[in-house]
Amino acid sequence: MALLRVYIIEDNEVYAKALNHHLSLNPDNEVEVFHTGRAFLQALHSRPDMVTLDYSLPDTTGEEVLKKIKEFDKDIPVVIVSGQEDIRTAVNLLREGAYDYIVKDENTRERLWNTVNHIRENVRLKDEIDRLREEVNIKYDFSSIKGNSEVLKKIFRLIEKAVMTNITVSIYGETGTGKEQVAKAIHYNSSYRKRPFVAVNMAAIPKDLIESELFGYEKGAFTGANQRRIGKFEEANNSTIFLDEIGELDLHLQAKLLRVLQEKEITRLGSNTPVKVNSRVIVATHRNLAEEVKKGAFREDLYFRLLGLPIELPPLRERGNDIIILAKFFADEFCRDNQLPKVQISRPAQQKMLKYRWPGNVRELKAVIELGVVLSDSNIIEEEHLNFHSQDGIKELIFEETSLRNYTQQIIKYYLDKYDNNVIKVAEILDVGKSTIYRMIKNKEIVMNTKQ
Amino acid sequence: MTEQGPLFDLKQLDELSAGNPDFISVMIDTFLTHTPEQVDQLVSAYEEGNLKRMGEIANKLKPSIDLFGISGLTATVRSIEQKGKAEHRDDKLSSEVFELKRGMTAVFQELQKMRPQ
Repeated sequence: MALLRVYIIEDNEVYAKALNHHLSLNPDNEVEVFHTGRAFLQALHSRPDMVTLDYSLPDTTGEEVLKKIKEFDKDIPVVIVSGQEDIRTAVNLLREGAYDYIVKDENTRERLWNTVNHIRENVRLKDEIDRLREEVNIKYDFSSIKGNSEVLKKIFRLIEKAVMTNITVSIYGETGTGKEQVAKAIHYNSSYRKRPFVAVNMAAIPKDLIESELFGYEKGAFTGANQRRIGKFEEANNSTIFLDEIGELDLHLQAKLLRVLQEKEITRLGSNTPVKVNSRVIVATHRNLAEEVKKGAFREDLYFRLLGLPIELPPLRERGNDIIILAKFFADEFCRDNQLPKVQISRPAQQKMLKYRWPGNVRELKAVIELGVVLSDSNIIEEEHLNFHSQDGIKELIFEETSLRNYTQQIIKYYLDKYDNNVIKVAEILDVGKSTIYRMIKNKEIVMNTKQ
Repeated sequence: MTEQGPLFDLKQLDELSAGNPDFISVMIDTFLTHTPEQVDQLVSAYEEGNLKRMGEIANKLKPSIDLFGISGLTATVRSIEQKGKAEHRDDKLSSEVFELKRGMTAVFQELQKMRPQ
């Protein structure tokens, strides 16, 4: 800990010297003496860690000085060291916020020494709490993303890396996997957190409006442009812009976006003057952008520009018990918002949820649970209260027309990913010989996922 | 003030010095520089009938008297302080003020002898 700055306000020169000498015996104290209230108040802005205050001062009273210290910063501990033995004075000052009241007598030295040590410990603990609080805020407040699966922990580690710099982040994942939640977690844990998070969904805006939405326009730029309007990039200056469904952006606008990202400036529609923008860019898509590049639907240069730190969100079906954690969270949230008593989810209902594929992911789970709460009768969600949108599991499974061998490979790969490549466990679940799986791996029919 | 007892006792200052030999001489210097004036102010306040002021100065003198172990005057200075605070003049106050002045003057003279010439 740094030195404890102790200010002594004492007009008796003899006593002030004695206190100064005594407290300076501890090299961790930095002591300064003031003989008048006025001299002290002029130095108050330098914010001491603690103050010892004589009640009777030549130019003011201890009460007045105490009041001014508390107005400046109520957390500065003030110890009254006074010749006044009047108990009412002591009680009043303690009520006004004094940390302690020490009468000048033969015990003053020891009492003051102990009090200063207590304050030093409090200051140290407060600093420690502030430091930890800041650390928690910066690094670990991902409470909006529920779950504790290994795969999610890996995502958290990537988010932590993302918040340390303003690298562009590209988030991939099926619909409903929580891409915007991850983008928000990055923003609200980054240095931009006090500025607005600006989200634009490319799929939700008509194609011919995207340009004006992103870059803004000048008055008269087009019919209906009655006044100047800034775009989302300007709105997100010194903050985060989240471009959701970036894969839906047409090629013409991809070129314009690339230019904005390279030049860090935008030009409003109807204007020739570029405006500098400094935004942290996060993009998301449910598409495989590398595939889109191969197909010629997405510019390769923009793809590499946006790649930055890629975060791939797993589908809900691969998150194991997170399904139950999320289900309970959504049930509690829905009950709270609707002033309903809390509901439980029965064991068979939980099993049913764990077996389902969740094509709509977290979004679908939320809808299913909310309906489950409404349909439940005795504050317990049972199997029959869970209505999945895709009822026919086999149809879901065989949606893709392919060979039986391919299905087998996909199924084994799915379980290997789910159980961290534990071949023995997967062989047991699928009731196949482990040598069969090993052989398929060896023959490269299955490529094991080795990503950390 | 008893004539037989020591005028002062530097035991407290000695403990406080924590082995720093210069500390006691600095404290004696400071005491001799500031305290005689305080005693004179107290006497003046008494003579002017400003008992409140007299009590305030006694309050300021008290810790110095304690610190220098001037035990013969600890009760006297407290009595003057209380009477000043209550603005109460009784038969004894005059002799107490006189006793304080006389006792402190003797202490100043003795301490002066301890200063290096």
